[in-house]
Amino acid sequence: MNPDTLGRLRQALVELDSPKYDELLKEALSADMEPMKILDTLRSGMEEVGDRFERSEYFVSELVMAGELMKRALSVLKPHLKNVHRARGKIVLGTIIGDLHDIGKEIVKSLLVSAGFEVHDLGIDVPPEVFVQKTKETGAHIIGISALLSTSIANTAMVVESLKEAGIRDEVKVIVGGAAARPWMIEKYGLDAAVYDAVKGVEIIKMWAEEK
Amino acid sequence: MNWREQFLRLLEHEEPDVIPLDVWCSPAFRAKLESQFSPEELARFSPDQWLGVRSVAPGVPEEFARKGVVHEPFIHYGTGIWIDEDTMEDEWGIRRRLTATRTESRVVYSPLRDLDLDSLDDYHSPDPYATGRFSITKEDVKRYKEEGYWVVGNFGIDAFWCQSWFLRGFNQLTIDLFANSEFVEKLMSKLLEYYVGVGRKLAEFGVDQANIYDDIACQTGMIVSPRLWRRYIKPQYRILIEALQPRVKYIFFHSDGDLRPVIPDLIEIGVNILNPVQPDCMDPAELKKLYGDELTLWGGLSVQDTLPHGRVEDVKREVKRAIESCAARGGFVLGTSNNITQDTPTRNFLAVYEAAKEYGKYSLR
Repeated sequence: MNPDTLGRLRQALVELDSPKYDELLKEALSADMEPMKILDTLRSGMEEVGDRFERSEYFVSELVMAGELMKRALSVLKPHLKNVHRARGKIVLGTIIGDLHDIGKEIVKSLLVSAGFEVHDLGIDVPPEVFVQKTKETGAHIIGISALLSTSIANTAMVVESLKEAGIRDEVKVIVGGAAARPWMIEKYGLDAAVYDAVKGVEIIKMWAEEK
Repeated sequence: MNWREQFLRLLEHEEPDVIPLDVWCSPAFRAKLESQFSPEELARFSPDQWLGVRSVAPGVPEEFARKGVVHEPFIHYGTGIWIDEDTMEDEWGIRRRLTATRTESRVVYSPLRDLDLDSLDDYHSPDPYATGRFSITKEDVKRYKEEGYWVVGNFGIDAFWCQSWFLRGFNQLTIDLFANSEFVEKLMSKLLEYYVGVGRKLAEFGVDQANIYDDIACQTGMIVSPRLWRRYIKPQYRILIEALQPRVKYIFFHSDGDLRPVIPDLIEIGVNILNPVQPDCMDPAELKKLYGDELTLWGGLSVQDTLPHGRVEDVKREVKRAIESCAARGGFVLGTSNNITQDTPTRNFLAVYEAAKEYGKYSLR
Protein backbone atom coordinates (compact mmCIF):
# COMPACT_ATOMS: atom_id res chain seq x y z
CA MET A 1 0.00 0.00 0.00
CA ASN A 2 1.05 3.52 -0.66
CA PRO A 3 2.35 4.83 2.67
CA ASP A 4 0.50 8.05 2.20
CA THR A 5 -2.92 6.46 1.69
CA LEU A 6 -4.19 7.77 5.00
CA GLY A 7 -2.97 11.28 4.31
CA ARG A 8 -4.66 11.23 0.93
CA LEU A 9 -7.81 9.72 2.41
CA ARG A 10 -7.96 12.55 4.91
CA GLN A 11 -7.43 15.05 2.12
CA ALA A 12 -10.21 13.50 0.00
CA LEU A 13 -12.56 13.82 2.97
CA VAL A 14 -11.61 17.43 3.61
CA GLU A 15 -11.93 18.26 -0.09
CA LEU A 16 -15.22 16.30 -0.28
CA ASP A 17 -13.95 14.39 -3.29
CA SER A 18 -16.39 11.51 -3.18
CA PRO A 19 -14.96 9.15 -5.86
CA LYS A 20 -11.38 9.57 -4.62
CA TYR A 21 -12.51 9.08 -1.03
CA ASP A 22 -14.31 5.83 -1.83
CA GLU A 23 -11.28 4.54 -3.70
CA LEU A 24 -8.82 5.39 -0.93
CA LEU A 25 -11.10 4.04 1.78
CA LYS A 26 -11.21 0.76 -0.09
CA GLU A 27 -7.46 0.81 -0.46
CA ALA A 28 -6.93 1.44 3.25
CA LEU A 29 -9.30 -1.38 4.22
CA SER A 30 -7.83 -3.90 1.82
CA ALA A 31 -4.35 -3.07 3.11
CA ASP A 32 -5.45 -4.39 6.47
CA MET A 33 -4.78 -1.12 8.09
CA GLU A 34 -5.76 -0.83 11.72
CA PRO A 35 -9.41 0.34 11.79
CA MET A 36 -8.73 2.63 14.72
CA LYS A 37 -5.97 4.35 12.78
CA ILE A 38 -8.28 4.92 9.81
CA LEU A 39 -10.93 6.27 12.12
CA ASP A 40 -8.53 8.66 13.84
CA THR A 41 -7.39 9.95 10.46
CA LEU A 42 -10.95 10.59 9.39
CA ARG A 43 -11.78 12.27 12.68
CA SER A 44 -8.93 14.65 12.19
CA GLY A 45 -10.30 15.33 8.69
CA MET A 46 -13.73 16.07 10.14
CA GLU A 47 -12.13 18.51 12.58
CA GLU A 48 -10.65 20.38 9.67
CA VAL A 49 -14.03 20.44 7.90
CA GLY A 50 -15.46 21.97 11.10
CA ASP A 51 -12.65 24.54 11.20
CA ARG A 52 -13.31 25.50 7.60
CA PHE A 53 -16.99 25.92 8.46
CA GLU A 54 -16.08 28.19 11.37
CA ARG A 55 -13.92 30.25 9.01
CA SER A 56 -16.88 30.52 6.56
CA GLU A 57 -14.91 28.68 3.89
CA TYR A 58 -17.40 25.82 4.16
CA PHE A 59 -21.18 25.94 4.50
CA VAL A 60 -23.95 23.61 5.61
CA SER A 61 -23.77 21.68 2.33
CA GLU A 62 -20.08 20.87 2.97
CA LEU A 63 -20.78 19.79 6.57
CA VAL A 64 -23.56 17.48 5.41
CA MET A 65 -21.44 15.99 2.62
CA ALA A 66 -18.53 15.39 4.98
CA GLY A 67 -20.95 13.69 7.38
CA GLU A 68 -22.19 11.46 4.57
CA LEU A 69 -18.63 10.45 3.64
CA MET A 70 -17.86 9.75 7.27
CA LYS A 71 -21.01 7.61 7.56
CA ARG A 72 -19.76 5.41 4.71
CA ALA A 73 -16.49 4.79 6.52
CA LEU A 74 -18.15 4.14 9.88
CA SER A 75 -20.50 1.55 8.42
CA VAL A 76 -17.54 -0.52 7.16
CA LEU A 77 -15.30 0.14 10.16
CA LYS A 78 -17.89 -0.44 12.86
CA PRO A 79 -17.78 -4.24 12.92
CA HIS A 80 -14.00 -4.07 13.43
CA LEU A 81 -14.13 -1.51 16.19
CA LYS A 82 -16.36 -3.23 18.72
CA ASN A 83 -13.65 -4.66 20.93
CA VAL A 84 -11.21 -1.80 20.94
CA HIS A 85 -13.53 1.11 20.81
CA ARG A 86 -14.98 2.86 23.84
CA ALA A 87 -17.43 5.68 23.25
CA ARG A 88 -16.17 9.12 24.20
CA GLY A 89 -19.51 9.85 25.80
CA LYS A 90 -23.21 9.07 25.52
CA ILE A 91 -25.66 11.64 24.32
CA VAL A 92 -29.40 11.68 23.76
CA LEU A 93 -30.36 13.91 20.86
CA GLY A 94 -33.70 15.09 19.51
CA THR A 95 -35.79 17.96 18.17
CA ILE A 96 -38.20 19.21 20.82
CA ILE A 97 -41.95 18.72 20.60
CA GLY A 98 -43.70 21.21 18.33
CA ASP A 99 -40.65 21.48 16.08
CA LEU A 100 -39.39 19.30 13.28
CA HIS A 101 -36.42 21.11 11.88
CA ASP A 102 -33.67 18.56 11.80
CA ILE A 103 -30.98 19.67 9.38
CA GLY A 104 -29.02 21.17 12.29
CA LYS A 105 -29.62 18.14 14.46
CA GLU A 106 -28.41 15.80 11.73
CA ILE A 107 -25.22 17.84 11.34
CA VAL A 108 -24.59 17.75 15.09
CA LYS A 109 -25.25 14.03 15.09
CA SER A 110 -22.80 13.30 12.31
CA LEU A 111 -20.13 15.47 13.93
CA LEU A 112 -20.66 13.70 17.27
CA VAL A 113 -20.62 10.22 15.76
CA SER A 114 -17.47 11.14 13.86
CA ALA A 115 -15.93 12.37 17.09
CA GLY A 116 -16.61 9.03 18.75
CA PHE A 117 -19.78 9.66 20.73
CA GLU A 118 -22.54 7.14 21.20
CA VAL A 119 -25.56 9.07 19.94
CA HIS A 120 -29.15 8.09 20.70
CA ASP A 121 -31.23 10.04 18.22
CA LEU A 122 -34.90 10.36 19.16
CA GLY A 123 -35.82 12.10 15.92
CA ILE A 124 -38.12 15.10 15.78
CA ASP A 125 -41.17 16.42 17.64
CA VAL A 126 -39.98 14.66 20.82
CA PRO A 127 -41.98 15.02 24.07
CA PRO A 128 -39.94 15.96 27.20
CA GLU A 129 -40.58 12.67 29.00
CA VAL A 130 -39.11 10.72 26.08
CA PHE A 131 -35.81 12.58 26.48
CA VAL A 132 -35.78 11.65 30.16
CA GLN A 133 -36.78 8.04 29.60
CA LYS A 134 -34.04 7.54 27.00
CA THR A 135 -31.48 9.21 29.24
CA LYS A 136 -32.28 6.82 32.09
CA GLU A 137 -32.33 3.84 29.78
CA THR A 138 -28.94 4.57 28.19
CA GLY A 139 -27.15 6.22 31.09
CA ALA A 140 -26.36 9.17 28.83
CA HIS A 141 -24.87 12.17 30.57
CA ILE A 142 -25.68 14.76 27.93
CA ILE A 143 -28.97 15.74 26.32
CA GLY A 144 -28.85 17.74 23.11
CA ILE A 145 -32.12 19.42 22.19
CA SER A 146 -32.66 20.94 18.79
CA ALA A 147 -35.19 23.74 18.29
CA LEU A 148 -35.42 26.23 15.46
CA LEU A 149 -38.53 28.15 16.41
CA SER A 150 -38.72 30.60 19.29
CA THR A 151 -42.08 29.01 20.15
CA SER A 152 -40.74 25.50 20.52
CA ILE A 153 -37.50 26.47 22.23
CA ALA A 154 -39.49 27.37 25.36
CA ASN A 155 -40.55 23.72 25.50
CA THR A 156 -36.98 22.80 26.38
CA ALA A 157 -37.72 24.02 29.92
CA MET A 158 -40.11 21.07 30.19
CA VAL A 159 -37.24 18.66 29.60
CA VAL A 160 -35.35 20.25 32.47
CA GLU A 161 -38.44 20.01 34.67
CA SER A 162 -38.91 16.35 33.77
CA LEU A 163 -35.28 15.66 34.64
CA LYS A 164 -35.79 17.30 38.03
CA GLU A 165 -38.93 15.25 38.65
CA ALA A 166 -36.99 12.11 37.80
CA GLY A 167 -34.27 13.21 40.23
CA ILE A 168 -31.49 13.12 37.64
CA ARG A 169 -31.05 16.79 36.73
CA ASP A 170 -27.60 16.98 38.31
CA GLU A 171 -26.36 13.92 36.48
CA VAL A 172 -27.06 15.33 33.03
CA LYS A 173 -25.90 18.34 31.04
CA VAL A 174 -28.51 19.90 28.77
CA ILE A 175 -27.59 21.84 25.64
CA VAL A 176 -30.04 23.50 23.28
CA GLY A 177 -29.09 24.26 19.70
CA GLY A 178 -30.94 26.11 16.99
CA ALA A 179 -31.36 29.40 15.22
CA ALA A 180 -33.45 30.97 17.98
CA ALA A 181 -31.22 29.82 20.87
CA ARG A 182 -29.79 32.69 22.90
CA PRO A 183 -27.47 32.73 25.94
CA TRP A 184 -30.10 34.31 28.20
CA MET A 185 -32.22 31.17 27.78
CA ILE A 186 -29.69 29.18 29.83
CA GLU A 187 -30.87 30.81 33.03
CA LYS A 188 -34.50 31.20 32.09
CA TYR A 189 -35.05 27.60 31.02
CA GLY A 190 -32.52 26.04 33.40
CA LEU A 191 -30.15 24.79 30.68
CA ASP A 192 -26.40 24.29 30.70
CA ALA A 193 -25.73 25.73 27.25
CA ALA A 194 -27.57 27.34 24.34
CA VAL A 195 -25.92 27.80 20.94
CA TYR A 196 -27.02 28.56 17.39
CA ASP A 197 -24.03 27.07 15.63
CA ALA A 198 -23.66 23.27 15.26
CA VAL A 199 -19.89 23.26 15.37
CA LYS A 200 -19.77 25.38 18.54
CA GLY A 201 -22.33 23.10 20.15
CA VAL A 202 -20.20 20.07 19.41
CA GLU A 203 -17.16 21.81 20.92
CA ILE A 204 -19.06 22.35 24.16
CA ILE A 205 -20.19 18.71 24.22
CA LYS A 206 -16.60 17.54 23.68
CA MET A 207 -15.48 19.76 26.54
CA TRP A 208 -18.12 18.25 28.83
CA ALA A 209 -17.07 14.75 27.84
CA GLU A 210 -13.49 15.55 28.82
CA GLU A 211 -14.54 17.00 32.17
CA LYS A 212 -16.42 13.88 33.02
CA MET B 1 -51.43 58.60 -3.67
CA ASN B 2 -52.92 55.11 -3.85
CA TRP B 3 -50.90 51.98 -2.99
CA ARG B 4 -49.92 51.41 -6.59
CA GLU B 5 -48.45 54.83 -6.82
CA GLN B 6 -46.67 54.41 -3.50
CA PHE B 7 -45.06 51.20 -4.73
CA LEU B 8 -44.11 52.63 -8.10
CA ARG B 9 -42.32 55.46 -6.35
CA LEU B 10 -40.55 53.46 -3.68
CA LEU B 11 -39.44 50.73 -6.09
CA GLU B 12 -37.98 53.42 -8.32
CA HIS B 13 -36.10 54.68 -5.27
CA GLU B 14 -38.12 57.80 -4.80
CA GLU B 15 -39.86 58.65 -1.56
CA PRO B 16 -43.56 57.75 -1.39
CA ASP B 17 -45.92 59.24 1.22
CA VAL B 18 -45.91 56.29 3.58
CA ILE B 19 -43.85 53.17 4.11
CA PRO B 20 -45.96 50.07 3.45
CA LEU B 21 -46.03 47.49 6.24
CA ASP B 22 -46.01 43.76 5.51
CA VAL B 23 -46.69 41.65 8.63
CA TRP B 24 -46.62 37.85 8.39
CA CYS B 25 -48.33 35.79 11.08
CA SER B 26 -48.10 32.07 11.72
CA PRO B 27 -51.51 30.38 11.62
CA ALA B 28 -51.21 29.81 15.39
CA PHE B 29 -50.52 33.48 16.09
CA ARG B 30 -53.40 34.46 13.81
CA ALA B 31 -55.70 32.14 15.75
CA LYS B 32 -54.55 33.80 18.95
CA LEU B 33 -55.42 37.25 17.52
CA GLU B 34 -58.80 35.98 16.40
CA SER B 35 -59.54 34.83 19.92
CA GLN B 36 -58.62 38.22 21.34
CA PHE B 37 -60.17 40.64 18.83
CA SER B 38 -63.48 40.96 17.05
CA PRO B 39 -63.45 40.85 13.24
CA GLU B 40 -64.07 44.61 13.24
CA GLU B 41 -61.05 45.19 15.45
CA LEU B 42 -58.90 42.88 13.35
CA ALA B 43 -59.84 44.84 10.23
CA ARG B 44 -57.56 47.60 11.53
CA PHE B 45 -54.62 45.33 10.78
CA SER B 46 -55.86 44.27 7.37
CA PRO B 47 -53.11 44.30 4.74
CA ASP B 48 -55.43 46.49 2.68
CA GLN B 49 -54.87 49.23 5.26
CA TRP B 50 -51.10 48.87 5.42
CA LEU B 51 -49.79 47.25 2.24
CA GLY B 52 -52.31 47.36 -0.59
CA VAL B 53 -51.21 44.26 -2.42
CA ARG B 54 -53.22 41.71 -4.41
CA SER B 55 -51.62 38.34 -5.02
CA VAL B 56 -51.85 36.06 -8.02
CA ALA B 57 -50.69 32.49 -7.59
CA PRO B 58 -51.18 29.17 -9.34
CA GLY B 59 -53.44 26.66 -7.65
CA VAL B 60 -53.92 22.98 -8.27
CA PRO B 61 -55.41 22.01 -11.63
CA GLU B 62 -58.81 20.39 -12.02
CA GLU B 63 -57.46 16.90 -12.47
CA PHE B 64 -55.62 16.94 -9.14
CA ALA B 65 -58.43 18.81 -7.39
CA ARG B 66 -60.81 15.96 -8.24
CA LYS B 67 -58.75 13.65 -6.03
CA GLY B 68 -60.16 15.39 -2.99
CA VAL B 69 -57.72 18.21 -2.45
CA VAL B 70 -58.01 20.25 0.72
CA HIS B 71 -56.04 23.11 2.20
CA GLU B 72 -54.40 22.73 5.60
CA PRO B 73 -52.94 26.05 6.84
CA PHE B 74 -50.64 24.41 9.39
CA ILE B 75 -48.85 22.46 6.67
CA HIS B 76 -46.20 24.27 4.64
CA TYR B 77 -47.69 24.65 1.14
CA GLY B 78 -50.50 22.55 2.53
CA THR B 79 -52.69 22.01 -0.51
CA GLY B 80 -53.04 18.35 -1.25
CA ILE B 81 -54.67 15.10 -0.34
CA TRP B 82 -54.55 13.44 3.09
CA ILE B 83 -52.60 10.19 3.16
CA ASP B 84 -53.45 9.63 6.82
CA GLU B 85 -54.74 11.95 9.51
CA ASP B 86 -51.43 13.81 9.85
CA THR B 87 -49.82 13.44 6.43
CA MET B 88 -50.60 15.26 3.23
CA GLU B 89 -49.34 14.68 -0.31
CA ASP B 90 -49.03 17.60 -2.71
CA GLU B 91 -49.24 17.69 -6.47
CA TRP B 92 -45.50 16.98 -6.79
CA GLY B 93 -45.79 13.82 -4.68
CA ILE B 94 -44.06 15.39 -1.67
CA ARG B 95 -45.55 14.30 1.66
CA ARG B 96 -45.56 16.50 4.75
CA ARG B 97 -46.62 15.56 8.25
CA LEU B 98 -47.92 17.68 11.11
CA THR B 99 -46.16 17.79 14.47
CA ALA B 100 -47.84 16.35 17.56
CA THR B 101 -48.84 19.93 18.40
CA ARG B 102 -50.33 20.26 14.89
CA THR B 103 -48.70 23.65 14.46
CA GLU B 104 -45.81 22.85 12.10
CA SER B 105 -45.08 20.38 9.34
CA ARG B 106 -42.15 18.77 7.65
CA VAL B 107 -41.32 16.73 4.58
CA VAL B 108 -41.51 13.04 5.41
CA TYR B 109 -41.42 11.60 1.93
CA SER B 110 -39.40 12.80 -1.03
CA PRO B 111 -40.64 11.12 -4.20
CA LEU B 112 -37.29 11.30 -6.04
CA ARG B 113 -35.16 9.97 -3.18
CA ASP B 114 -34.38 6.61 -4.73
CA LEU B 115 -34.30 7.51 -8.41
CA ASP B 116 -31.21 7.31 -10.58
CA LEU B 117 -30.34 9.38 -13.61
CA ASP B 118 -32.38 7.20 -15.98
CA SER B 119 -35.44 6.69 -13.83
CA LEU B 120 -35.61 10.45 -13.24
CA ASP B 121 -36.83 10.65 -16.84
CA ASP B 122 -40.08 9.06 -15.69
CA TYR B 123 -40.79 11.83 -13.22
CA HIS B 124 -42.64 14.79 -14.63
CA SER B 125 -43.09 18.06 -12.81
CA PRO B 126 -46.66 19.34 -12.82
CA ASP B 127 -47.93 21.00 -15.96
CA PRO B 128 -48.00 24.78 -15.42
CA TYR B 129 -50.61 25.14 -18.15
CA ALA B 130 -52.97 22.43 -16.87
CA THR B 131 -56.67 23.26 -16.91
CA GLY B 132 -57.68 25.08 -13.79
CA ARG B 133 -54.14 26.02 -12.76
CA PHE B 134 -55.13 29.68 -12.41
CA SER B 135 -58.50 30.80 -11.21
CA ILE B 136 -57.63 34.40 -11.99
CA THR B 137 -57.92 36.23 -15.32
CA LYS B 138 -56.22 39.15 -17.00
CA GLU B 139 -59.35 41.16 -16.33
CA ASP B 140 -59.06 40.53 -12.59
CA VAL B 141 -55.49 41.85 -12.62
CA LYS B 142 -56.57 44.87 -14.63
CA ARG B 143 -59.32 45.55 -12.12
CA TYR B 144 -56.95 45.26 -9.15
CA LYS B 145 -54.73 47.82 -10.75
CA GLU B 146 -57.64 50.15 -11.43
CA GLU B 147 -58.62 49.83 -7.80
CA GLY B 148 -55.15 51.05 -6.86
CA TYR B 149 -53.57 47.79 -5.68
CA TRP B 150 -50.06 46.59 -6.35
CA VAL B 151 -50.26 43.17 -8.01
CA VAL B 152 -47.80 40.49 -6.97
CA GLY B 153 -47.35 37.13 -8.67
CA ASN B 154 -46.25 34.03 -6.77
CA PHE B 155 -45.22 30.58 -7.92
CA GLY B 156 -47.19 28.69 -5.29
CA ILE B 157 -44.13 26.78 -4.06
CA ASP B 158 -40.55 27.49 -3.03
CA ALA B 159 -38.02 27.82 -5.82
CA PHE B 160 -35.20 25.65 -7.08
CA TRP B 161 -33.08 24.94 -4.01
CA CYS B 162 -35.88 24.15 -1.58
CA GLN B 163 -38.16 22.39 -4.02
CA SER B 164 -35.33 20.18 -5.24
CA TRP B 165 -34.41 19.05 -1.74
CA PHE B 166 -38.06 18.54 -0.81
CA LEU B 167 -38.25 16.26 -3.86
CA ARG B 168 -34.94 14.50 -3.40
CA GLY B 169 -34.29 14.67 0.35
CA PHE B 170 -31.80 17.09 1.88
CA ASN B 171 -28.86 14.75 2.33
CA GLN B 172 -29.32 12.98 -0.96
CA LEU B 173 -29.50 16.26 -2.87
CA THR B 174 -26.34 17.40 -1.08
CA ILE B 175 -24.55 14.23 -2.16
CA ASP B 176 -25.77 14.82 -5.71
CA LEU B 177 -24.41 18.36 -5.67
CA PHE B 178 -20.95 17.04 -4.88
CA ALA B 179 -20.96 13.80 -6.79
CA ASN B 180 -23.82 13.54 -9.29
CA SER B 181 -23.95 16.71 -11.34
CA GLU B 182 -25.88 15.15 -14.20
CA PHE B 183 -28.73 14.24 -11.87
CA VAL B 184 -28.87 17.74 -10.43
CA GLU B 185 -28.88 19.31 -13.87
CA LYS B 186 -31.67 17.05 -15.09
CA LEU B 187 -33.71 17.73 -11.97
CA MET B 188 -33.24 21.47 -12.35
CA SER B 189 -34.36 21.37 -15.96
CA LYS B 190 -37.55 19.61 -14.88
CA LEU B 191 -38.24 22.24 -12.25
CA LEU B 192 -37.45 24.99 -14.69
CA GLU B 193 -40.24 23.87 -17.04
CA TYR B 194 -42.75 24.44 -14.28
CA TYR B 195 -41.37 27.78 -13.06
CA VAL B 196 -40.89 29.27 -16.50
CA GLY B 197 -44.40 28.17 -17.48
CA VAL B 198 -45.91 29.78 -14.40
CA GLY B 199 -43.67 32.82 -14.89
CA ARG B 200 -44.93 33.30 -18.43
CA LYS B 201 -48.53 33.09 -17.21
CA LEU B 202 -47.84 35.66 -14.49
CA ALA B 203 -46.29 37.96 -17.07
CA GLU B 204 -49.31 37.47 -19.35
CA PHE B 205 -51.65 38.37 -16.53
CA GLY B 206 -49.73 41.60 -16.15
CA VAL B 207 -48.54 41.31 -12.55
CA ASP B 208 -46.33 44.15 -11.36
CA GLN B 209 -43.94 42.07 -9.33
CA ALA B 210 -42.94 38.41 -9.15
CA ASN B 211 -41.94 36.84 -5.86
CA ILE B 212 -39.35 34.06 -5.77
CA TYR B 213 -39.06 32.27 -2.42
CA ASP B 214 -36.05 30.05 -1.75
CA ASP B 215 -34.37 29.62 1.63
CA ILE B 216 -30.75 29.26 0.62
CA ALA B 217 -29.24 30.56 3.86
CA CYS B 218 -29.44 30.14 7.62
CA GLN B 219 -28.29 32.57 10.27
CA THR B 220 -24.68 31.43 10.30
CA GLY B 221 -24.39 31.75 6.53
CA MET B 222 -25.37 30.04 3.30
CA ILE B 223 -26.92 26.57 3.52
CA VAL B 224 -25.91 25.62 0.01
CA SER B 225 -22.38 26.90 -0.51
CA PRO B 226 -22.03 29.92 -2.80
CA ARG B 227 -19.91 27.87 -5.21
CA LEU B 228 -22.57 25.17 -5.63
CA TRP B 229 -25.36 27.74 -5.66
CA ARG B 230 -23.64 29.60 -8.51
CA ARG B 231 -23.13 26.41 -10.45
CA TYR B 232 -26.57 24.84 -10.12
CA ILE B 233 -29.16 27.28 -8.81
CA LYS B 234 -28.23 30.74 -10.06
CA PRO B 235 -28.52 29.75 -13.75
CA GLN B 236 -32.10 28.61 -13.11
CA TYR B 237 -33.05 31.91 -11.49
CA ARG B 238 -31.44 33.74 -14.38
CA ILE B 239 -33.52 31.87 -16.99
CA LEU B 240 -36.66 32.33 -14.92
CA ILE B 241 -36.09 36.07 -14.51
CA GLU B 242 -35.37 36.40 -18.22
CA ALA B 243 -38.75 34.77 -18.90
CA LEU B 244 -40.46 37.28 -16.59
CA GLN B 245 -38.74 40.43 -17.72
CA PRO B 246 -39.23 42.92 -19.22
CA ARG B 247 -42.97 42.54 -18.71
CA VAL B 248 -42.54 41.98 -14.99
CA LYS B 249 -40.10 44.65 -13.96
CA TYR B 250 -39.87 44.00 -10.23
CA ILE B 251 -38.35 40.76 -9.00
CA PHE B 252 -38.61 40.01 -5.29
CA PHE B 253 -36.32 37.40 -3.82
CA HIS B 254 -36.90 35.87 -0.39
CA SER B 255 -34.45 33.86 1.62
CA ASP B 256 -34.15 33.60 5.36
CA GLY B 257 -30.72 33.94 6.85
CA ASP B 258 -27.45 35.54 5.94
CA LEU B 259 -27.08 35.41 2.16
CA ARG B 260 -24.62 38.28 1.82
CA PRO B 261 -22.15 36.22 -0.27
CA VAL B 262 -24.63 36.01 -3.16
CA ILE B 263 -26.43 39.36 -3.01
CA PRO B 264 -24.28 40.79 -5.84
CA ASP B 265 -25.15 37.69 -7.92
CA LEU B 266 -28.85 38.24 -7.30
CA ILE B 267 -28.57 41.86 -8.41
CA GLU B 268 -26.64 40.77 -11.51
CA ILE B 269 -29.45 38.47 -12.68
CA GLY B 270 -32.17 41.05 -12.16
CA VAL B 271 -33.42 40.78 -8.57
CA ASN B 272 -34.39 44.24 -7.36
CA ILE B 273 -36.25 43.52 -4.11
CA LEU B 274 -34.67 41.61 -1.22
CA ASN B 275 -36.75 40.04 1.53
CA PRO B 276 -36.79 39.65 4.54
CA VAL B 277 -33.47 41.28 5.51
CA GLN B 278 -33.33 39.21 8.69
CA PRO B 279 -31.84 41.63 11.24
CA ASP B 280 -30.66 38.77 13.48
CA CYS B 281 -27.87 38.09 11.01
CA MET B 282 -27.72 40.90 8.42
CA ASP B 283 -27.59 44.56 9.34
CA PRO B 284 -30.27 46.39 7.32
CA ALA B 285 -28.26 49.64 7.53
CA GLU B 286 -25.21 47.94 6.04
CA LEU B 287 -27.27 46.48 3.19
CA LYS B 288 -28.83 49.87 2.50
CA LYS B 289 -25.40 51.42 2.31
CA LEU B 290 -24.01 48.71 0.02
CA TYR B 291 -26.97 47.97 -2.19
CA GLY B 292 -29.50 50.72 -1.53
CA ASP B 293 -29.36 52.00 -5.09
CA GLU B 294 -30.04 48.61 -6.64
CA LEU B 295 -32.28 46.88 -4.14
CA THR B 296 -35.48 47.67 -2.36
CA LEU B 297 -35.21 46.17 1.11
CA TRP B 298 -38.43 44.57 2.30
CA GLY B 299 -38.62 43.44 5.95
CA GLY B 300 -36.23 44.22 8.80
CA LEU B 301 -38.13 43.28 11.99
CA SER B 302 -36.91 40.29 13.99
CA VAL B 303 -39.48 37.62 14.76
CA GLN B 304 -36.85 35.70 16.71
CA ASP B 305 -35.68 38.23 19.25
CA THR B 306 -37.50 41.53 19.41
CA LEU B 307 -41.06 40.47 18.72
CA PRO B 308 -41.29 37.39 20.97
CA HIS B 309 -38.88 38.48 23.70
CA GLY B 310 -38.62 42.28 23.58
CA ARG B 311 -40.60 44.90 25.44
CA VAL B 312 -43.03 47.21 23.64
CA GLU B 313 -40.38 49.95 23.59
CA ASP B 314 -37.85 47.53 22.06
CA VAL B 315 -40.27 46.73 19.25
CA LYS B 316 -40.94 50.39 18.61
CA ARG B 317 -37.24 51.15 18.66
CA GLU B 318 -36.58 48.40 16.12
CA VAL B 319 -39.27 49.78 13.81
CA LYS B 320 -37.80 53.28 14.15
CA ARG B 321 -34.27 52.05 13.56
CA ALA B 322 -35.26 50.04 10.48
CA ILE B 323 -37.01 53.06 9.01
CA GLU B 324 -34.16 55.43 9.85
CA SER B 325 -31.57 53.19 8.31
CA CYS B 326 -33.44 52.00 5.22
CA ALA B 327 -36.16 54.41 4.14
CA ALA B 328 -34.15 57.32 2.74
CA ARG B 329 -34.69 57.73 -1.02
CA GLY B 330 -37.46 55.12 -1.01
CA GLY B 331 -36.55 51.51 -1.64
CA PHE B 332 -38.00 50.22 1.61
CA VAL B 333 -41.02 48.23 2.74
CA LEU B 334 -41.21 47.60 6.47
CA GLY B 335 -41.99 44.01 7.39
CA THR B 336 -41.47 41.10 9.70
CA SER B 337 -38.53 38.82 8.98
CA ASN B 338 -40.90 35.84 8.87
CA ASN B 339 -44.11 34.67 10.50
CA ILE B 340 -44.80 36.08 13.94
CA THR B 341 -44.86 33.07 16.26
CA GLN B 342 -47.55 32.31 18.77
CA ASP B 343 -45.35 33.06 21.79
CA THR B 344 -45.19 36.72 20.73
CA PRO B 345 -47.14 38.97 23.12
CA THR B 346 -50.07 40.67 21.42
CA ARG B 347 -48.87 44.04 22.75
CA ASN B 348 -45.71 43.66 20.65
CA PHE B 349 -47.77 42.96 17.55
CA LEU B 350 -49.77 46.13 18.26
CA ALA B 351 -46.55 48.05 18.86
CA VAL B 352 -45.39 47.31 15.30
CA TYR B 353 -48.47 49.05 13.92
CA GLU B 354 -48.27 51.94 16.36
CA ALA B 355 -44.63 52.56 15.57
CA ALA B 356 -45.18 52.14 11.82
CA LYS B 357 -47.90 54.76 12.02
CA GLU B 358 -45.70 57.09 14.02
CA TYR B 359 -42.46 56.76 12.06
CA GLY B 360 -43.57 55.46 8.68
CA LYS B 361 -44.67 58.71 7.07
CA TYR B 362 -42.17 60.48 4.88
CA SER B 363 -43.80 63.88 5.33
CA LEU B 364 -43.40 63.65 9.10
CA ARG B 365 -39.85 62.41 9.24
